[in-house]
Parts: sequence; C-alpha cells; structure tokens
Amino acid sequence: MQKTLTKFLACSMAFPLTFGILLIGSARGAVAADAEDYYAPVTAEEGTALLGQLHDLITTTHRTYTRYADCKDPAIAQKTDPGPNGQLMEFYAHAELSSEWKSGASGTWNREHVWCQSLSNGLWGENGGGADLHHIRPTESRVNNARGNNKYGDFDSGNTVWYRDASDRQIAIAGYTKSGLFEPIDEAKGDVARIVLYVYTHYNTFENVYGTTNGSGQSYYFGTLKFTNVVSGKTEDDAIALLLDWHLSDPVDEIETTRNDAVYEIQGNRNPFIDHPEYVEKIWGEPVPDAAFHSAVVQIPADGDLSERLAALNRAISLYSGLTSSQRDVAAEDVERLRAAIDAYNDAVDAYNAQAEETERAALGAAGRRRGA
Amino acid sequence: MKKFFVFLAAAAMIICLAGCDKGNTQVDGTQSQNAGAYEQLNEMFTRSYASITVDVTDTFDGFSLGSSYNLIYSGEKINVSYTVERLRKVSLDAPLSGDKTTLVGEVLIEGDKTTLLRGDDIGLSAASLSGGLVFKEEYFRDPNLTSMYLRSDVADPDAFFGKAGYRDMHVDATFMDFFYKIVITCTAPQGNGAEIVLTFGV
Repeated sequence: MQKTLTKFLACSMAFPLTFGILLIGSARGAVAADAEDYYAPVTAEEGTALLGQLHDLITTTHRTYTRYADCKDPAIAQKTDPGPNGQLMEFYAHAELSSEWKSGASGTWNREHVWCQSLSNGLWGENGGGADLHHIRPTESRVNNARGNNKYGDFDSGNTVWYRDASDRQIAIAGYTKSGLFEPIDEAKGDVARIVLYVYTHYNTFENVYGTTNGSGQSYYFGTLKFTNVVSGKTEDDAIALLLDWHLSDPVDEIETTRNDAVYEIQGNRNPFIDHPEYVEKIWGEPVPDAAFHSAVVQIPADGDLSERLAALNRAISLYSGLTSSQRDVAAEDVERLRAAIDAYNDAVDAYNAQAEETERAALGAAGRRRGA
Repeated sequence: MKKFFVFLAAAAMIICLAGCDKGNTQVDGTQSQNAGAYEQLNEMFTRSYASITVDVTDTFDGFSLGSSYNLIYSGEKINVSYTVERLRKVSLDAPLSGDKTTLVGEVLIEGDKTTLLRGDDIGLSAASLSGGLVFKEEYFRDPNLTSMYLRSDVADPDAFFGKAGYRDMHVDATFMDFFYKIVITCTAPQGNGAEIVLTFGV
C-alpha cells in the first residue's frame, strides 16, 4: 500500500510540470473509461439496496488508505485540488490558494475534515476516514478555524467568513457562521453534500448501510455515523433534506470531477455521488414521477381510432414497465389513468370482436342455405 | 298419332326450358330484367357443392380482421375448418407485440348436432349455418346481370342477405351452371366495413 503511494509521489514530483499536465490529460480518458466500468457491479436501482451496493463497492475498491500526513503533501494536493497558476483550490471559497505547506499559518492551507473529527464518534484518526482524500480538503487556516466544529446549516444574516491571504487581504467569501452553524457559499454547498454522503456511505459499518462487507479497511475505521452528527436538523430526515437541497442546487462541477479522478488513481475508489448524482435521489430522495411516462399517459386518446389508442397504450405500458416501484407509487394517478384507458380499450376490443363475429356468422348463414334446400 | 303427341310434348318442354333457362339472360352480356333468371340463380345457389369457402374481412378503426371458414359437405355431414383473427386485449404487464391473435379449429356437424371439435372453440353449431342468399329482381338496384355474372348494388340487403342492419351492400357474383364466387361488400350494423367472399367448389 505504502509502496504504491511512494511510487506515485516520486513520479509526480520528478516530472516537469508541463509534462505532468500532459500525462494527466492523456490519463484522464483512461480514467473516465475505468469509471464507467467501476459501477458495473451496481445492479440495484434505488433505496437501501443501492446504498448497500455502493458501500460494498467503495470499500472493496479502496485499495490504498492514505495517512493523515499524506493529506498535507503539496504534490498530492496539487494533483487532487489543482488551482489556477499551479496553486491549490481553496475548498470553501473556490479561490486560488498557495500550495506551499506552512503548518497552518494564516493565509496558507490546512487540512479540513468536511465531516468534523469531533463529530465522527471518534472514528477519524491518522488513518481511515480521517485521512481519506475524498474527504479531506484544503482550506485556508482561518476559514478552517471559523468552520471549527460547526454543523452545516442554512440561515439568514450570519457572520461572513472571509478567505484572507497572508497579508490579511480579503480574497473571497468562504461562508457564513451563526449560532453554531456554518453555511458554505452556494457554489460549495453541493461539494459539501456529496462529501458528507460519501463519508456516511463509506465509513458507516456495513450493517448500518445495508452492505455486506467493509472491504479492505480496518474494522476500527468503521462505525456509526448519522447525518445529524454534522448537519443541522432535529431528525435524520431534516438533515437529509438539507443535503438533498444543497446537492440539487449546486450540481457537480469540474473541481469535483478532477479531484474524483485524481483520488481514484491514488486510493482505487471513487465518490459515486459525483459520478452518478442521480444516486443521491434514488437513495435518499422522494421518488420523482417519470415525466416521459406522464406525458405518454396524458397523450392516450380517450376514444376514437382504436389502432391509434393501441399505439399510445403500448408506448405508455412500455414506459411503465421501466419504472421502479417507487416511481410507480408516486405516479399512482397516472397508473390509474392508464389502467382505465386499458379497460376502455379492452371493452372496445370486445365490442369489435363481437362485431366481427356477428358478420362472420351472417356470412356463414348466407352460405348455409344449401343445407335447407 | 301417339308419336305425334310425344313429339309435341317434347317440343313444348324444350320451348319451356329454353324460356326458363338462361335464354332470358342474354349470352352476349346484355342485361336482363327477367325474374326467371333470378329464380335460376336461386336454384343454382341451392345446388349441391362439394365445398364452400367463406372468407370474411372486417375493417374498423385502422384494424382489419380476416377469417376463413372452409365448409366441406358429405351427405348430411358438414366439416368446418376455420382460421379466425381476433383483436388481443391489452394488459399492464407488457406492451402487445402483435395486435391480433388467431383462433384455429375444426368442427363436424351431423344433422343438427356438433359431433367433433378440435382446436379453439368459437361456438359454431348447425344453427350457425342456416340462412342463405335470396335472389329476387326487386332486391337489386341497377343490376348488371349476364349469363356469367351479376354485379349490382343491393336495394334490400336484409331480404337478400337474410340478416338485418347491413347496408351499402354490393354484390359481385360469377357463375356458369354453378356459382364460382360471390363477393359481397357492405357496412355492418355497427359501422365496420366487411367483405365477404363465398367460393364454391363443385
């Protein structure tokens, strides 16, 4: 494990930057292709079954567990969080940050546990979830302090947290604080949500998330994590609702995909909620009615030409067969309308078959005169 | 003297037959309004045929259902083999891969009883085969009747066809001593279009 990491670091630092960029660029296509195959074992469509399969996938493919010390290595940080001009990207402010490591001095970067260490039920240490590169992000030291142990939340009229450089100049807003809560800027909310969801899915022990294995990780990496540990809300549903809102309002961006590919090369696992944002709703979201199915149902003619009605029915039935059970539940009104249209069509079929039979009997009768002659 | 009466009777019969037979229908194809010719069609229709095939095509709302019944006569027995198309019903389980299904079977009718059924039961019985076409001059409108065919709109479909409610009927019959084929096109009582083809085997 360590050998692989050391080899990677040596290569990254040895090559000139320009060549390194070319290397990363050419490798990205291969990474993307690998990412497609990565999800091949995922067969579940939704809910806890999908959650369990994702847990199994990201833990069994997590070949290399980095150490917390690795997370401050500029070579790794430049690969995982590349900013403009060869610097880093400050996580909360989405602004350029010097890549030079100065042990947390003001205006330089620090290692941010998006899921705070103090809110991890003691799981985060020097290894495991507390050192997972999908989780640990570079933030400016004072921003890191301002976030502190605050839970994530939404609020009005909070205190602005500025990302300032070493000369104390305001560079960009990094978020807001109020009454024990921290609210990121809008552009970082989705990033936060997808990291929290990844950490929850990975580091909950498999029994908690409907999985079957904790993969190659040490048993003490895993435990019980609840969203309310790190997200404001009286209930898990409240916390999930906030995460869903942030996930949907701030879609996956290039900062996240770049990081996902880079960490994948180091650790061997991916953040599935970046690659497949739809998984979030399929696991935690309210089922959404299928728009195509709804459209197909409302387009079924109430009466008129029977062959046109059959074509419309077949279209709707075909889409219905592709719906998940949850989608069928949420589209109950459309399903009921479809059933009624089917019943009406079948009544018309009965009538038409009866007409055809009546004409055939009349024709047979016409031919039958001979018997009585 | 006796021979003379025999000759006279034979001559009278020949004249009579000539008058009743197709002589009233012009062999050269010109029309005849002679009622005797229609009576001759009725007689021709009731002759013994070895078989009659009844093909029915029913059309409605973009669909077309075809059926074929083959009636084979043997004394008092009628063997009816059939292939019948029906529209299939739809279910929520899966889209229909085809809109029609085909029923195939065979029945043997002896007298008034059905003594054999093979394949799909479509409820055929001796009663299904009673009825018949009736040819009368007044049943037709602007007929084109020759010694070989009758082509005409049907003025009184109920009387000609033996079933009520059929309209817009047209008949095209070909014959010579026996019927070859009778093609009837019409609109059925419920509005579907129908083409009925009777093909006679001697």
